[in-house]
Amino acid sequence: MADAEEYVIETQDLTKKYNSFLAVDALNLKIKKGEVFGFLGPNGAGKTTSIKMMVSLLKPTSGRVLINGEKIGKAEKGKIGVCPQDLVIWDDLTCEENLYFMGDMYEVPRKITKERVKKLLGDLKLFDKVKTLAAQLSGGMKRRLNLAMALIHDPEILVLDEPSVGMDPQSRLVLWDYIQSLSKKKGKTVILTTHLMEEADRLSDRIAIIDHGKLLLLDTPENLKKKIGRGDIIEMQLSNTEMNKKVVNLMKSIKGIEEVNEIKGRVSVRALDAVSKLPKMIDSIEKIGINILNTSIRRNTLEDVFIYLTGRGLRE
Amino acid sequence: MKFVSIAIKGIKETTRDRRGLAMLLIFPMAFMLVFGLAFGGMDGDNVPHEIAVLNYDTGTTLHYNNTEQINFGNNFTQLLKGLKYEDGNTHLFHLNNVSGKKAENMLMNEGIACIIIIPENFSDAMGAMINNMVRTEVTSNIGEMIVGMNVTERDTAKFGLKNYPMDYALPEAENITAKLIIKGDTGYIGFGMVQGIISGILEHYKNEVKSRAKKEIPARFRKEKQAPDNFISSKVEGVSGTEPFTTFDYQAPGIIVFALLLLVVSVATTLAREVEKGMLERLKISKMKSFDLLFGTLIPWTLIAIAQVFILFLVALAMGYHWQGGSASLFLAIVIGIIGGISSVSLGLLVAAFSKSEKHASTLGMIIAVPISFVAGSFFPLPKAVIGKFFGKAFQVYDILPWTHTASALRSVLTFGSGLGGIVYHIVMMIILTIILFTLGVICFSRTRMRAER
Repeated sequence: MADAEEYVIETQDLTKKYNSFLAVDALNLKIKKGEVFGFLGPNGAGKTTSIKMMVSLLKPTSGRVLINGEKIGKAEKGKIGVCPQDLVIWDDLTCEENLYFMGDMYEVPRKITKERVKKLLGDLKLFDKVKTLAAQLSGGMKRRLNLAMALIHDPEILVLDEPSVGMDPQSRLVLWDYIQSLSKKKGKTVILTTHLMEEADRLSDRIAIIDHGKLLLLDTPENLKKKIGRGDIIEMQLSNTEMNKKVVNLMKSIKGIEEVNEIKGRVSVRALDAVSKLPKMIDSIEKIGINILNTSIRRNTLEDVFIYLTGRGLRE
Repeated sequence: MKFVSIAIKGIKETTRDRRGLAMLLIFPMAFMLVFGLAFGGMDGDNVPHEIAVLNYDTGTTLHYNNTEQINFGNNFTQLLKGLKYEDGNTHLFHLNNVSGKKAENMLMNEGIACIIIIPENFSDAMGAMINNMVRTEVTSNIGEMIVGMNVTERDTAKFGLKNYPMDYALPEAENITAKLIIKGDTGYIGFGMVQGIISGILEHYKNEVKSRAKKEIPARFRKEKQAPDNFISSKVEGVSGTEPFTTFDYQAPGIIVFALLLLVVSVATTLAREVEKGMLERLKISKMKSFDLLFGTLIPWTLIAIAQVFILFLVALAMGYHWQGGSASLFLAIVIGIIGGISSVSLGLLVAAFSKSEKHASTLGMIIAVPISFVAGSFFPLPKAVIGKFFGKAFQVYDILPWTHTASALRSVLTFGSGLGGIVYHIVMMIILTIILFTLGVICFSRTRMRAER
């Protein structure tokens, strides 16, 4: 077992109840120093509630949060930086005014703030917008400024709540490179919540998947894919989609098939050594008089893991 | 000094948000213009002010070659009785001939605006004032010693004082003081109006008496001129405050109070926006304390309050407002505006504490601020609703609002030309009520918005 010092954030039976609704159910997490910790879950799973408790914006009903082994209330303010999902910037201030203001709020000496403003705006490709009012920035620029404001006090821990929402691919790449550099080059601990599985897969060292306030699984992205989504995915489009259900039941009867689902009008089959099982599957479908329009085989993804764990039901 | 950074941020945001600034400055300016156009040009209700004069003056004798008996109290009373509005035939005052007790009752019921109490040594004091003035005037020319010696014509020639054949001894310089009391309820608009006028008239009267006495000096001290029989007479001249009083003169300070009350809406919406957009959460996880936020918020809004008072005052003047005070009254008005502004910020904190969104805060702020502006007597005088006595004054139900005192104090200094002494009660009440309101605002806002959510 790792020493307490290795974990920067630890939640112990963290629980939040709103009347009879259990938003977070005895959550136990240990987040390592310097890692990018992906925090995944469907809408309403309890991610934001958990994070709010971790940064002391919300009081837990029971349980506690430790920052570097200290209870959250006693930990020195300024250790955590939060980049919220919504844009929290002052529109009538310029980029540098927003950053200087936040620097003042964290009691960062002006001289140091000046250096950091220059560095942050440069790193996040906003240097030519120093004197531009935040209101006049594009959506992607606002997102990057939102992130810079969470970093002006050089926090040990950075919480990013869906940081790339609304960003174009170019802005997203700038952001991802920057998040990786924060963790790998500067040793910052990053807690990342996102609905983009590609983002979580690419950036996270470990991923926790929660639903209904409960931790479902916590591991590296590779291990998660191995544990949950063994094998490959075969997707088939039938000539008559009304027969999808019948085919799903038929596939379930074949030995060695791990999971069968109907997704977006297609039949999705997960199986170990899927290529060798494919002729048998096609044969049994054609025997009941159904034509297959096309078939594809792909590797299991984090999204498959996520869907497998949290189901297909719509949330919120 | 995080609150300074918050204040600077607030000032930048306020000045850059043109729509918000227009709401705070242009909207009340438009109000002032409309009210000025509607009511500024109208002849006010030039009705005589009801007052009572209790003249206890026993009169005095002026000692010269012909001994003159005079009662300055009667003289001053007659002067008040004869005064008329500057542009008309209406008398300025109606003097009620009543006993002291009856006058007190009338005062309590607002049947009269004030009681003027002339003390029994009023004439003695006026005589002493004349004597001192005469001594100063005469001796400044020829020297007290010579006059006091009762010199002959030969002596005067010797001293080169040919033109001063003095057969009078100089009057004795006595140290007699008398205090004329103007008694009334400082919270009553009628008193506010007349006390400034009467103080002005008294000053004018004293100057007139001195001026006339001064004119008689050559006649008294040179034989070639005949001394008049009546040393003191009265002449009616328009004094400050006797111009036609318009409804706008009442309303203009009220519109300033209305503008100050609009700060409630602005403060509440600004804070609610910070809550709604998550800005407050961003600040809550920083090292900022409640104190920093609340005082940092107070400073820019107080500056706005000063700007409002000053700008609206200028607009009111342009619209024909009869300003009675000097530059000191403007300074006092700004001080009153600052306290009134802080009251509004405090109420804004309370509104923000219970608002669910920016829109909700705006609506709730309007629902609260606009009726308060009426209840505080900004636009028209309020009916009597006395609920008790406080510091010896009738305390009306509206007096629990700091803005009632803001309106009264602004009227006293700007419309009636009162000094600090005339508004001490209102200032004290404003400060007490503002402290209560600010404390409530801070407690509620801190509890609902500054702590970790439950």
